[in-house]
Amino acid sequence: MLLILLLTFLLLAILRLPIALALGLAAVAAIGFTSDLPFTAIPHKMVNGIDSYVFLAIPLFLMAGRLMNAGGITDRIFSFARVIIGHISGGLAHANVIAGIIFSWMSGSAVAAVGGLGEIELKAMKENGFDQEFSASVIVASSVLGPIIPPSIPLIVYAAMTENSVGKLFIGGIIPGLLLALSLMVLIYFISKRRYYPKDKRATFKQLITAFKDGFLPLMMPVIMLGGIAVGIFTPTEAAAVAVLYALIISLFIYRTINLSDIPGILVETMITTAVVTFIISMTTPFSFLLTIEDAGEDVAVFVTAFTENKWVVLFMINLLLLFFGALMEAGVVLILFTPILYPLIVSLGIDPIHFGVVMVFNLMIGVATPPVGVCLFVMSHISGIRVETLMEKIIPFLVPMLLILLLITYLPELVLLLPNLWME
Amino acid sequence: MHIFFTIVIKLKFLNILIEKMLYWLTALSAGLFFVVIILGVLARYVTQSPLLWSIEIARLLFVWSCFLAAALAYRKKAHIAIGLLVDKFSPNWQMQLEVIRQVMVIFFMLLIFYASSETIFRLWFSKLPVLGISQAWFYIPVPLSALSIISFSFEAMLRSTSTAKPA
Repeated sequence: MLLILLLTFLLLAILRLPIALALGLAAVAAIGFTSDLPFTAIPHKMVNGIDSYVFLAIPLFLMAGRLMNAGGITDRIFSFARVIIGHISGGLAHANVIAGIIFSWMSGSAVAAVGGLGEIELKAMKENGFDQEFSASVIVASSVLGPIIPPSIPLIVYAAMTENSVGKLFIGGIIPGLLLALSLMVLIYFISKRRYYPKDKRATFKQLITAFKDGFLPLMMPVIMLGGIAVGIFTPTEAAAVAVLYALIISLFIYRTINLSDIPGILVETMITTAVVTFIISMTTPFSFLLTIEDAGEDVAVFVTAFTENKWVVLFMINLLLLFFGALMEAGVVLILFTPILYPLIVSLGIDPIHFGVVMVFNLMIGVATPPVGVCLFVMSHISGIRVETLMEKIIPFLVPMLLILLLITYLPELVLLLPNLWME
Repeated sequence: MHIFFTIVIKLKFLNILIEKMLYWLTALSAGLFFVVIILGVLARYVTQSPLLWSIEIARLLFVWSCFLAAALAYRKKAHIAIGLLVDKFSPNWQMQLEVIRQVMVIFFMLLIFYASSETIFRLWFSKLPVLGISQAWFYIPVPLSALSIISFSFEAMLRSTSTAKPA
């Protein structure tokens, strides 16, 4: 049964059938040819797979980000970041990373960050005399922050699939995200020194106040959301809904950037983006149910532990595996496919599931910026008109700090677990 | 050939209609689950009496909007697929492959339609714990979505067959 299941899936996926349908058809083939389970098990599992209150946070966070994007809010964030950090060598590039951090607190996806901030940042950096390829790489690299710093769509998916706390995973992503931002800024600093990239004049106190005033409303959004989750006022799903309400009020009544008649369109677009993820999850459920019947997860665990029971070695191997698949496939797909297989293994080795979740998502997010299928590279190439091949080459220096921080958070679990243990429980 | 084109045109109109329906049902259910969650928060903190039904109904609406939007995503070719290998094939081969894919999708969706309808009939009399309505409500969007995808698929397949030359 396992063989039919996996082979059918691989064959269909290679023929460019959507991943979700390839998973579903593989389950059909496995059930039809090798078991006496009824086919009704498939729709049953499909619905069960996505019937989780936690998943509701996905469209809500996406929608909050989209609403904030619609109304020049990205402009305000960028000017705010520029005023704070622009006077350091390579000023605008740093502002990019800072804006990336702020934007990450509002949105859960990397593509949203490139799409939202990319254009204005690129234009500003060009006017300032940065070369386009460097600017584009900086923007792509800082977009990786989006799903690592909370809120994060992939962390929600991981939490729901493994029944872990979304709140803890979110808070666990904070330190790794900030470390990554810091390391990117160190790199930018040295490159900018060497290439004599420009910096802004230090902002006056008055400029600081104005920028803060302009950015105040959008900047409050993450405070409400994450504050609410950390203190325990809201569940993550509720926090996401409150964020949408907040963004709606701002963009409908205060900035007046959208009309009531835009709302159905925004809802449907958000749901289509969500459905692409939930449809895969939905189809993975019958697939991994069949894997479970065959004890595949346990087999993997037994197979791996036969070689080594050292969890640090296993984590290293998992990291290599995920980097490989993360480069080949969409991050979300790898996350959904591998979580049910790897989870029993890491639990049996006594690895903390919160630690592992953050490491796994961090690892896979590097993939959005790496060839051959890094989504953010393609979006950036589309925005900037730079060839993808060129971008792929220019991004390489930025992968070094990413991999270093990955190694760091893999082997120092405290970096992930410190804040969740401190704030929650 | 004449009949063939009439079918394609009729299908096209039908699919535009289906797409409109999916669009508004998705917008409605997504808008409603947002409102329900907000009401749930308000009830807990403002009127101090939590709404037990809010979570159940939000989940139900979410499942509906996901499956309906999945059909829309299929129409818009938004579902993730791996094109590394196939993209290198010749255009004609790709066209042939497209027909094969649509046949597989139609087969799969027919099966899902059948299996989910059976699930709905079987669950018709079991009730949800809080809302007290039938559990089958969670499964109703599945056959709807399957039927829509079948209809979209037929149109895509007929279009491909009319442009592909025999290999």
